[in-house]
Amino acid sequence: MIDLGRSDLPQPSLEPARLERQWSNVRERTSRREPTFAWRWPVLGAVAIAASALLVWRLVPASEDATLLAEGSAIETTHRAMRVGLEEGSAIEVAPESRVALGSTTGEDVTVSLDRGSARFDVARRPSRAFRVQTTTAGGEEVEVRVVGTAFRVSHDDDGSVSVEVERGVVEVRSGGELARLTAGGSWRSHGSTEASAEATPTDPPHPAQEALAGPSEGFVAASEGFAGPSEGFTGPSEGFTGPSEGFAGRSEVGPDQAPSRRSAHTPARTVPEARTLFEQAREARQAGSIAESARLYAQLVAEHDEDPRADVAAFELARLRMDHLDDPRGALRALDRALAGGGAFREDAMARRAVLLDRLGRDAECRTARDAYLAAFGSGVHRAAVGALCP
Amino acid sequence: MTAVSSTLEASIKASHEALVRHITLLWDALLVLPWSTMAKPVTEPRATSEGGAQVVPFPGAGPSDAQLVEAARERQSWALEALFRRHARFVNGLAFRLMPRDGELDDLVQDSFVEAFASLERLADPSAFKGWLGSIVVRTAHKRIRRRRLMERVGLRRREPIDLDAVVPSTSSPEAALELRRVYAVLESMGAEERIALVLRRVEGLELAEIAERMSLSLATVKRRLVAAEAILTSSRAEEGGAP
Repeated sequence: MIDLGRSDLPQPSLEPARLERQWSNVRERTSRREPTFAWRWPVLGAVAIAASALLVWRLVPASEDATLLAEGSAIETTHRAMRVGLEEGSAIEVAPESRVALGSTTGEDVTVSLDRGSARFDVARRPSRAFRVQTTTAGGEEVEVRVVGTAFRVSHDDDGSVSVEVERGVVEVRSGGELARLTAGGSWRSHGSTEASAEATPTDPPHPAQEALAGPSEGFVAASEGFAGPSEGFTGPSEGFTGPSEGFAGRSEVGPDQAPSRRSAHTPARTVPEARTLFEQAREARQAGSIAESARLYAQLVAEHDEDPRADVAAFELARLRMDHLDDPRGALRALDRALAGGGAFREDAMARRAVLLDRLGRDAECRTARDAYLAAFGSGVHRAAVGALCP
Repeated sequence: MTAVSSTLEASIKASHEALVRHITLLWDALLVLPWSTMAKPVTEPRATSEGGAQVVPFPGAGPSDAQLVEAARERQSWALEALFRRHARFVNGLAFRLMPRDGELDDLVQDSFVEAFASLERLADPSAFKGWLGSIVVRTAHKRIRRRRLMERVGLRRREPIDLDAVVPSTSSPEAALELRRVYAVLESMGAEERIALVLRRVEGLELAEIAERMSLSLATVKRRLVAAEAILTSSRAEEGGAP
């Protein structure tokens, strides 16, 4: 048996994006898990009984509505709503008098068109693919909903407009060269409408069709081969959208705490958001691929909540975004200095990045100082080789 | 009298240095831990010239694992993140060497961290977080390998060979590369426990007792698993005409 050195050990490819994706999933799953309480066993028992009952229910002959929608096919409903599944795990609840067609279902792109009526989309977790719903208003305006995740409704309204309502997660709606980003509880309506303020808000009663489709009904829960069950495809928000979202004109955020329509002229008075809120928003923006927005939120957190414990992490994340994505080495350096001033758990990475940045900026003397400081503090650190090769 | 005085001075000096060390640690923790984790805020420490000691504001690489675990137990999300980021490379490396198919890596890493974060209350020694986390990675890999084998046996999954070119790093010495190729070429033909024991022994370089701890097996069982794994390895070498 030979001794394997550090450079001999098999190592995976670990790009920052991969680590971010891993952390995002860990965070989401961790936050979903219930804390352990003494009453968990009775609760688990009840859940097991309910699951058994559901299993028995699903083993009865499937309803005629149980359908797997194949690529290139469409489904058209008459007087009854219908639930269909996609092979990739998502589900669509098609309202009565509606038509939905499935376009491409390549591994990285799923395109669905809503030709008429209304449908609720429950998009399965699949970080590597984009899920799009395309439709057109009566006036011919094209609307595309890109799924960041995860459950939302698209409807053709009586007045010829198209509306989008998000139950959970995040979607992006593109229409007429504008882009709106909707978070849970938010809604959007196309220009075809004459009722700019009629959209649903979290406090509004649910849309009648949505109310009808929200809960399980006989027609919806019928089993379908290849259809992800409630424990698979319909839980929690997904990070489905990973494509670039920067560079769209007319971008706007619409969420439950904000004006629900892009047509609304109301601008709420500015209040300073809490650090926790900013942190979560920055993370969500980062997951959605909105790098500039994420950086802005991190910068705001650092500026407005400098004493908060999250400020150190935010400064480090800000530096990473500026360095890796925004081509802003000077800004990244400022953020790193701020992160290092707070100590923090990322000191090793921050010191290494600082040396790299100074090397990139051609500030050789400072680079050498930063390099030597890193090597002195982390002589056996993971960045030793990379940092040691800087500014010779 | 002089001797007593000098002893006292030494004692005072030692106490003073200990106090300064404590303040330093508290100050470091204060900078990174949220206020809610402190019983009460600590006032800003002042440098002192007595005894020549200085309070260094940022002495190390942030809070210790034990501090982070304590904060994480209170569901402080920043502490969970800090633990993830600090140990992500270690977990990814270990997971990759145990299950070197890239498509399986993310799931294994994520499952391991989720399990660890959900079980923090069961970690007796918070400072031993890294080793404990490694054990969770090993156990999680074991479960996944067994599940995959079962699926292969019932025909729900096809057995695929490990891509040796992707596993062996280009920086490996020729001897190490050959050793790695031999080990990973036969892994798929082994049982889950033999496979993991062999990787921990041959690749990770762990001692038998460490392997037993990571795998939650007795030392005798680990030895048996390694004997079986080595037999397969030796047989493979004999087939290719190489030296044992």
